[in-house]
Amino acid sequence: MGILLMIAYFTGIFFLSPGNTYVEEKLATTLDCTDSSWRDLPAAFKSPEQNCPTVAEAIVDVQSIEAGKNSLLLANLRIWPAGELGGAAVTTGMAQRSIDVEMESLSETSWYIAAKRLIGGRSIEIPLGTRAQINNYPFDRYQGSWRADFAPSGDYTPFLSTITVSQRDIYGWNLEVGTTSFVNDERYQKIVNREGDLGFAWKVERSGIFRISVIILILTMALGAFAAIILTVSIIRERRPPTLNALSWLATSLFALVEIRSRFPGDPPYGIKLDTFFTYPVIAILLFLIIIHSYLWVKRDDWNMKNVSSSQN
Amino acid sequence: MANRRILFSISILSLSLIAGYSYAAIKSLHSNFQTDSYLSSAKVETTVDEVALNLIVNELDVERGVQYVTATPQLSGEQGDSTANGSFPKHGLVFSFDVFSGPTLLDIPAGSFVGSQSLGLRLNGSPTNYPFDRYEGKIYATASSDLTEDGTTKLILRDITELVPGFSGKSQYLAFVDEGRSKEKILGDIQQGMGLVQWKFKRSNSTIVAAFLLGALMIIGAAVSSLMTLSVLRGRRPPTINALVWFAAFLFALFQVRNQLPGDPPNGVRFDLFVFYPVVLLLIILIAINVQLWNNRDDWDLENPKIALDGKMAKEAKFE
Repeated sequence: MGILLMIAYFTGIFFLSPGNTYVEEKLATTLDCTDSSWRDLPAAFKSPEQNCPTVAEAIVDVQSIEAGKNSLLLANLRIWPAGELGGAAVTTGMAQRSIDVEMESLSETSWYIAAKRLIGGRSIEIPLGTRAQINNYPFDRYQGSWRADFAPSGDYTPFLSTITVSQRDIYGWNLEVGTTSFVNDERYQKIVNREGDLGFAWKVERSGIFRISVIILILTMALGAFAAIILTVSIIRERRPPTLNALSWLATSLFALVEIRSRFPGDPPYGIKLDTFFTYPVIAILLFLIIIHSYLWVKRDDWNMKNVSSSQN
Repeated sequence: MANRRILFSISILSLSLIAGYSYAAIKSLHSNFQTDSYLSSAKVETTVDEVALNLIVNELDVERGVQYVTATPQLSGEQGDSTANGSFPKHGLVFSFDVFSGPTLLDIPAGSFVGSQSLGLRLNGSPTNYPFDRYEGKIYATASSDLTEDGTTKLILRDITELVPGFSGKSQYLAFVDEGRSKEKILGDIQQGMGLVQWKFKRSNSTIVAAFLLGALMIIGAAVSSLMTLSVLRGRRPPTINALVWFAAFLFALFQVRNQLPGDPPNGVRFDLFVFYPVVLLLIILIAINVQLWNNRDDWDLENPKIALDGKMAKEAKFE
C-alpha cells in the first residue's frame, strides 16, 4: 500500500506541473515587423522608414494570483511602441507620440505617456470575479477579463493597438489566457484594433502539484485521526491500557493538526468547505478521543500498565 | 570491534562534514557581489562636470519577477554637488529610466535637491531549481543636462551594491545597440548620456548550504524513521506509543523546517517535489505501519527484560 502510494506520487509529479501558463498563440507572440501579413495593412498605418506598422503593443506580465483574503490577479503593463509611435528600448520603449491609456484596475486606471520619453510600466490589479470560489479550495476556479483603451494624445498619428501576454509560469496556478473580441478587430500577424481597444480573458485553477501537496496534508490529518481512533478503540476494548504516553501522543497529534492547517499552501481563509467537512470534524474527533482517554485513565485500574514478556514472569 | 568501526566511520564522516562546512563558510565570507571595472572603478571627481547614477540592488522578488533598485543621482563640477542621499543640480537635469515599475522620468530643475528613486526592473528566471535558481535583470537609463546647448552630457552608471540578502551576483555594463561588451560602444553610450546595466544572480553559498542542511535533516529524519520501523517490523524492537510520539513530533517539525528554508521558495519547487513531499508521504506510511503493529502485536510497549552495562547485556530481569 505504501509502495503503491509512493509510485502514485512519483507518477503524479512526472505528469503534473507546479504551475503552467498557457497563452493563445496570437496573444503569446510579440509583434514581428517583418511578417508578410503586414503587407495588406493600409498605408496610413505603415512606417516606411522603420519598415514596421505603427502599433502600440501592450505587454502584460501576470505576476501573481492572490485568492482568499485579497482575491486579485496582479500584473504589470508595459508598452512597446512601433513604427511612427516610437521604438523598443530594453524593458519598454521610447515613445515618439504621446498616448493616453485607460485601463481596468483597482489602483491606477489612467496613464498618460508623454512623447519623447521612455514609457515604463504600470501595475494592474484585477479582482478575481468569483470570489466565493475560495470555498472550493483546492478545486477553486476563477475567470475574468481585462481591457484597456489606447488613444492618441497631442499630435495625431493613426495607430493600431495590440496585446501580448507573457508566458510566465505562476507557482501553484494553471493559467489559461485567451483573446477577447472587439468591433474593428483585424487579424494580421497579431490581432490589431484601430480604435485602440485591447484586452484578454483568463481562466485559472490550482496546479496539479499544488493539489497533490494539499492532498498529502489532508492525508496526514486523516491518518492522525484514524490512528487515534484505532488506539482509543483498542483501549476501550481493554486490549491496551490507557496510558499517559498515549495521551501525549493524542495531544501532539492535535497540536500538529492545527499547525498543518495553518501551513496549507496559498494561505486559504478559515471556514472554507475543507474546514467544515474535514479540519473541524477531525479536531472535534481528536478532542473527543482525548476526553474518553482521560476518563479511562482516571477510572481504570490498568492505567499505565506495562506489557511484560514471558521471560519476565 | 564492530563498535570501534562504527565509531571510526562516524568520526571520519563528522570530520568530512566539518571540513566541507568550513570550506563553504570561508567561501561565503568573500564578497557575494562583483561589478565589472566600468561600474566599480569610476569615482566622484569634483573637478569634472559629471552626471552619474549610483545604483543599489535592494531586493529580488523571485515569485513576482521584480528586481528592486535604488538609483541616486550624483553630480560633480559645474553639473552640481552630491549630497549623502542625493544631489543638488546647478543646471536643469532630466533622467529617464526604462523600468518595469516606478518613475520613468526625473525632471529636476536647477537649484532643487533630488533624492534616490525606487525602481522596479523585470527579473527573468524561475525558482524551480531552488537553491540553484538563476536570475537576470537589466536597466537602461538616459540623462540630459541644460549645461550644454544640445543637452548632451556624459552619464556614468555606478553599481555600488555590496550585498543582496540570500544571493550572490555580478553586474556589467552592456552596449545599448547590441547588448554586447564592446569597450568602444560602451564608452560611446557614456558619452551620449545613456547606459545599460545587466545583473545576474544566483543563490549565495550560505543559502545553498542552509538548503542542503535542512534537506539533509529531512532525509536523515526519514531514514532514521524507516530504520526504526524496520526494526519493529523484524521483531527486534516492540511497537511503542513513544515511537508514535516521535513520528508525530518529527512530522510536526518537518513543516517548521520547510518554512525555514532561506529565500522563502514558493510551494512546489523541485526541492519540495523530490525531498519534502516524499518525506512527508513516507512518514505518513510509517505512522500507519507503526499504529497497525502497536494495535496487533502482543509485544506492544514491551519492557526490555535485559539490563545493560556499558552498552552490553549484564543480566536479564526476573520478576518475582
